Amino acid sequence: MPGQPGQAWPDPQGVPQAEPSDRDLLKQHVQGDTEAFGVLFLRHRDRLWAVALRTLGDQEEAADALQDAMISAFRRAADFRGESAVTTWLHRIVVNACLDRIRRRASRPAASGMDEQTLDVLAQGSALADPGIDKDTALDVLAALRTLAPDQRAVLVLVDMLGYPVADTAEILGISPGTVKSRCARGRARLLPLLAHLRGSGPAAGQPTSGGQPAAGRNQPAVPRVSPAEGMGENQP
Amino acid sequence: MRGHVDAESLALCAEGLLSRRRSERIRSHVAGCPDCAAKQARLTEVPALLARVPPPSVPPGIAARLDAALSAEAARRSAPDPGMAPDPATAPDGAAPAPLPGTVLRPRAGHPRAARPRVPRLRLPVAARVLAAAGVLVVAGGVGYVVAQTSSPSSSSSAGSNAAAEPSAAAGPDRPTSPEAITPAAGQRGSAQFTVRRSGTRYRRDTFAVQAAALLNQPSAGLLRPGKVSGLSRQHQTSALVGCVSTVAGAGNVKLVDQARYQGRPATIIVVAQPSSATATVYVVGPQCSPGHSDILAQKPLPASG
Repeated sequence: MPGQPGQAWPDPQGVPQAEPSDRDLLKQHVQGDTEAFGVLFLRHRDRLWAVALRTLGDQEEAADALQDAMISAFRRAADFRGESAVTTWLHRIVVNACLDRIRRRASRPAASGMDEQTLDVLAQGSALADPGIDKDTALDVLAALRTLAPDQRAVLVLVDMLGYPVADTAEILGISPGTVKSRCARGRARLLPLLAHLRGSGPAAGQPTSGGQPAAGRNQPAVPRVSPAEGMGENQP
Repeated sequence: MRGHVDAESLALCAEGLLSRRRSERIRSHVAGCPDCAAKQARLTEVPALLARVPPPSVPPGIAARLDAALSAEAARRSAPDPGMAPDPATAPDGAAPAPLPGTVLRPRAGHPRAARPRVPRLRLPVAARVLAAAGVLVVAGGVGYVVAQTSSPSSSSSAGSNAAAEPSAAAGPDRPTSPEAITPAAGQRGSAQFTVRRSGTRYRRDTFAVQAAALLNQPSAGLLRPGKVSGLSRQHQTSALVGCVSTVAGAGNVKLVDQARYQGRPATIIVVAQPSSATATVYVVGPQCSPGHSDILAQKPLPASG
């Protein structure tokens, strides 16, 4: 099958060569360029969307949060200090928009659980292109994630789910790397009983892991992934 | 250490967040305790499990909504007040971004409104507003085709694109196709007019023709509101789309253009009626579809609606 899996077209990564850097684009935007911000945002949109959707667990809210963040970044571009990467800055704005929403939501009567359709959308992703997990498992993982406190959830989404390094996550969230690690650890411990039944439920399935198991991929980039099936070592040409 | 180690301690220990003494006690306990060793092994699987949930793609309706919001914001910034116009002196020509394929970049010199490219742009804020008010956003591509975004009272659900998913299940009884959505633009030489939908339908290999027929019976399903088609990416998409549709349609009448998914991948479904006969064809084209290259993934006759 041709092309990148799950990419909406036109694929921003498909634009050939000689692209301006994020910083250049932001600078051009501040200087009044009418296109630069759109190019910049499109470049990072998919990842920002993943962060928002996984953190909020609700498509409509994620869309609202991402839109708010986008407009906020558009307007506040001149405030960008250049101390961090543009992408970190964008992520920080998005994550803060999400956490703001969660706090506001917390002050309202408890939102009911997600309906089937929402869950369906949540699990959908590029599932067909990634055989690493089946839909039911994805749903269970997402449902378990929703039981966590927002701070823990945001950290696990960034580090474990989407593969951001601890240092970047710390910068995005404005907390120390140690705090990132401890939130990760506590979050994983809380998820453990909820996910225990899913162990080994990938397509490669079943064998209980014991000694000699490679350390699970903490801080590994989420993309590209090797599905468990491929990871069984029989796919070396 | 007496008793088992709780999961949190194991997790904190694994992150190196406990004191050396405590860590050593935990390790020595785990080494001699199968239960805790199993728990630790399960704990290491949690991040792996999280990493295996695929990242979501941006639903088309939400992508369109973000584009619209960005265009509105860009229009707000540049439209009302010439005093807010950028200072050209600070924008060196050399800093111009590399053009995207199919994108016409505005010349950077002088006042931002001074020099416009000949091809009408999607993001003319004033024009867009006027047209949006009229309920139709007309876009001229480079190939003599016209895209019309037709407003519909029931299109407000289009943002949640999945609301209209699977029309094969949701299709109601026959309803007339919205006539204005497919009327050729009068007086335009060699032009056709089509409405772009994003129905959220997940077309499948064995049912796409039926699904397309069902969608044709729902004139308003997945329609975009006026003004939704704007922004850089949309402009890029639109020019590519116009060329794509013209390539596929040839001399036929375009009855449906639905940007959706086919076999789990982004695709555009195009229904073309042949003027010479009463038949129509459903084409599925891939993302590479562009002027001169149709990238047809599948095609079937449109089943008679009934």
